[in-house]
Amino acid sequence: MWKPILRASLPMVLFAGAVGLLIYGARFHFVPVSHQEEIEVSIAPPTPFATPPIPGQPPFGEPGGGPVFVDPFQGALPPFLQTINKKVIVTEDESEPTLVREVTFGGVARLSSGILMRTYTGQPPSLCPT
Amino acid sequence: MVAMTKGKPASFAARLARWRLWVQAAFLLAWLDPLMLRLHTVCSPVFHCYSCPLATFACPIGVLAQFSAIHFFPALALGTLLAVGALLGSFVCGWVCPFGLLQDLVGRLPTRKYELPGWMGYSRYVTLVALVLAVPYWFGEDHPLFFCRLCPAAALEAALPNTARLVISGETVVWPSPAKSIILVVFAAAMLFTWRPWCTLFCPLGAIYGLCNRFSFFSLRFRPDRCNDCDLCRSLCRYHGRAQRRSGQTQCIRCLDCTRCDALTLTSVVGPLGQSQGYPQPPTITQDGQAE
Repeated sequence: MWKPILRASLPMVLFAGAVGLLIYGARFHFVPVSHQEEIEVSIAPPTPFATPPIPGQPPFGEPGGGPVFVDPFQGALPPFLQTINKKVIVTEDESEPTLVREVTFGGVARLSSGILMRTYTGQPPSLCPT
Repeated sequence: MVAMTKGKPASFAARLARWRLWVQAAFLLAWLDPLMLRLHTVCSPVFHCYSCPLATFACPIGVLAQFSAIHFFPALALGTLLAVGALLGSFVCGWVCPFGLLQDLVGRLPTRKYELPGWMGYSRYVTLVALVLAVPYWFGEDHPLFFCRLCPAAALEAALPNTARLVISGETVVWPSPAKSIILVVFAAAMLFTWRPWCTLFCPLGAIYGLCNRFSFFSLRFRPDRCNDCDLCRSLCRYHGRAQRRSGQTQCIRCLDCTRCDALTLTSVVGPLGQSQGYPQPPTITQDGQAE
């Protein structure tokens, strides 16, 4: 009596488990993947400052004192901010479907430290490394 | 033996089996991405390299190997394989897989076919465990025994077309690896002399679906009450399943050729498929080999 029931329920239980795996993988399964990113870093010029007077000495700018400090911007904001390009490592959580696509062209590699690292920057490679 | 099938209405499964090549060809169109969808976030249930310029989906075996290399649980690939396996078992191999279709077509060339010993089918599990799971896990994807570096389907569907494309476009040519190319040539030659050598010997996907044959929703059922030991089922089987008269034969690709014998029927867990043909008691074979 139990054999047909078991025979009928086993594929259904497995199918339900597989659907559960698919939903989990598609919606809730994430992994941190690091990638190198080039970012622009703004470097503001140093803010002007006045050296405090030394006790017993004439203040700067007066006879016997130090050099006169001239604020090039006259207290206003500098005309532009200097920017440089800097490479930083950014870690983002990626969903499993994205990771499936990434591995199809060898886009993700595991470093010896255990970190998952994207192998490219910009456009993904067109050919699989294997 | 012919007497058993002659003059009787064909069973549902036997009628279905006549359409197998057409079904395989129709599925091939689906795998070859005619709409250029490139749905590589989704795993297909078949053995079709994702690096093929015309691949709609991702190869589940490639994803398993790559995920093993990055030590990440492949929920999507495993879910796809389990869902399809629980429903269909190795029907996928016989009816849907494009690499199986290629082997079927090459196998139709009129050359003498040799049977491989049944025990060689276990090498598929070695391939699955060693090359798809263990080597990538322990040594990463750069190892020369990483599965994708040896896969003949990858050589045929990805390496050759991509190399041809690079040659035609005048870009720097990346030649396919010698190991992969040699394996492809060996299997192409083997297809001429045995039915589906890749499926029989090394296919890891077939190994998974073969295991699912034991409990899949749809299956082949052997009816002992209709069997008279005429061996028709065994003689009809070309693919090393050898109609072992068990529903869970792991090497069977469920081509349904053997259902021309009355003793094997296509069933589901809730009952037989198709209307009963009302077969009479099967004919008995006399000692001189004649059917009565």
